[in-house]
Amino acid sequence: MALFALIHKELLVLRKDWHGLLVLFVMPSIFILIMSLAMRDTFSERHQVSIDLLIFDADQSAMSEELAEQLAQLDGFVLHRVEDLTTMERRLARDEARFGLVVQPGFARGLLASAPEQAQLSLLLSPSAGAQLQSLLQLALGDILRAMRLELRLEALSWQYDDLPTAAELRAIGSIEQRYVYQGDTPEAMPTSVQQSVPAWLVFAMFFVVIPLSTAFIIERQQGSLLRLRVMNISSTALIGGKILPYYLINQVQMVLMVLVGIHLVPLFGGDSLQLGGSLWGLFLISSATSLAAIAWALLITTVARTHVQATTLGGVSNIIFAALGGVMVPKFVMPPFMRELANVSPMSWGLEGFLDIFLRQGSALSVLPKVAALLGFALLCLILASWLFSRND
Amino acid sequence: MERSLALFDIRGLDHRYPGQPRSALHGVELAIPQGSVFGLLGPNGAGKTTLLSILLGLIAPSEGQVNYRGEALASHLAAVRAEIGFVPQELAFYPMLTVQENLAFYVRCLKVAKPWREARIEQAVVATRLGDYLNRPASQLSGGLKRRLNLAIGLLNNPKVLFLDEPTVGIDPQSRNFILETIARLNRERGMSVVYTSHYMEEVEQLCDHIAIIDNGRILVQGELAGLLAAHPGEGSACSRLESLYLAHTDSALRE
Repeated sequence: MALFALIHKELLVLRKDWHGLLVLFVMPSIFILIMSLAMRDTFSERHQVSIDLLIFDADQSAMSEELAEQLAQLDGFVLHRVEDLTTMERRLARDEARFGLVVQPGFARGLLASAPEQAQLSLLLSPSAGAQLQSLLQLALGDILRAMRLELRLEALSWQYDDLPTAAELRAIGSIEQRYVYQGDTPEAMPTSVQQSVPAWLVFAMFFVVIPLSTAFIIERQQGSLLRLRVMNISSTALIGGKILPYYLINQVQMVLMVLVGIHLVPLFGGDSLQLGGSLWGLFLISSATSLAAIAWALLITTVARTHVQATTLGGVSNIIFAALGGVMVPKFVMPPFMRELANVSPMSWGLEGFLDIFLRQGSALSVLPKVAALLGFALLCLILASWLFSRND
Repeated sequence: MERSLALFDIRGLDHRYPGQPRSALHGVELAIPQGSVFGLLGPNGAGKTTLLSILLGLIAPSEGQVNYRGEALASHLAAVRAEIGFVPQELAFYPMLTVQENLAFYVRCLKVAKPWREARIEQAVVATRLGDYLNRPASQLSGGLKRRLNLAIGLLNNPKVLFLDEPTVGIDPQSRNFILETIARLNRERGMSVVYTSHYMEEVEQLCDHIAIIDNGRILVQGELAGLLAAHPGEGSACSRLESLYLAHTDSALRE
């Protein structure tokens, strides 16, 4: 059967195309490794975030010392004392620390006043200090200052009342229980950077079939092989089918390989291990649908482009736009609301959300169905357009 | 020649590509005799490729009729194609695959039954003398060997009609001579009809018994080569007289 001959030929050609295989398998493995390690601290509880905070105490009072002690106990911040303002400004400008806190002279006096007339503290920021971290530090500072002022007021009243709370009791808050909520029943699982990175770069890699597929197809067109095959009574359906099945297989091998990288390779470099907790049927469904969408998109690019340079450019640029929009390069949870809405136009976002349903949210086959339907709809639309263009132009 | 005996009988053929102001073919009337080596000559853009594409069933003409062995081509295209071998001008094979892998792929595409595949490949390999290069990647073949592989693939279905579109472009005289001899032998020994396009007058003169000259989408002259040369006044070799005939009909002005 001609279809089997076309599939066999495609696999033979791919096996000999080392550059194509590098793009399809090695590139996403490296991305997963790098991104899992780079984003490890953002996700994991085991590896605490360490943000450098400089402090210059110009007040030199017991109260300013108390403030420094309280700040040193803040989770995620590492306190460094500096001797003067110039040193602090130089280190911030060089990005050696993100924040610098100047305790102004008269800090202790201001803390006792009912309405301080001048700033007691100045917060200096390095160019890379993020807005979210800045808000967190402001909140923490506000809490510490309020507690210190309350403590001073209570101390003043303590000669009148016996049962007032002590300073230690004031600061002690009941421990807050926290747990992650999943679609599945795996309460011990913890979201890690590898759980985010594997789906993201797997989707990206799957869509990268556009490069080898379109290049192969366009070379066949330019070298007359397609013409020869058509004279041999090979139908357009067989020609397209002869591309879909081999690249579908490649996408599934990519999926298995990327999962293995997440489970075995990332931990070797100190990262977390990928945990598979969701439905395997769900994984099969979302993987198949993402693959078909990626291949159909590649076929559409192939029929639109006339040269393989055009195809590589169109395919590469469109993939990067899909990835940037769809939450592959920048996770959606750090995007502002309108960008999160915009992300929904990218098919990579549908695939990524489906994989996250399985890898991160421990979802079932049912939970990925809406994404599967969207991807298959996209694939069908691309295939119809590609078939029409193929029969018109070739 | 009686037109009903023609291999291809073309009547009133017109073709215009969508969006193009000019027709690629105008009222083409042509008969390609069975068993002949038929040369189709014309400058670039004359309409040769369009005419070949119509004969191969790759495009449907805007108007006119093409018959193959007396029957409308369009009505039994798949059966006609099964009898046709096609050697395009481009090297239409997979450079990364070996000669053997290329031949094995195309023979499977031709739906040749499994027991016959090896024999078909062997036949094509013998005809083109590629036996020593079967395990070599096609990309590593010389220009002449690549042309021979291109020809070998066209022979895999043991065709009754062989279409060759400038099959000797860019190769050395020895390889060219070998390819021309092979085509002549196939025509002589197997009775294979050949439709041949080329810009090389000496090739056409050496190989073809019938020719047609096409320009601006119109057939300007057609017939038996010997008769056409005899009717065309001039001196020198047959080749130079053929060139003179060609230039007389297509004018010698430089084309785009």
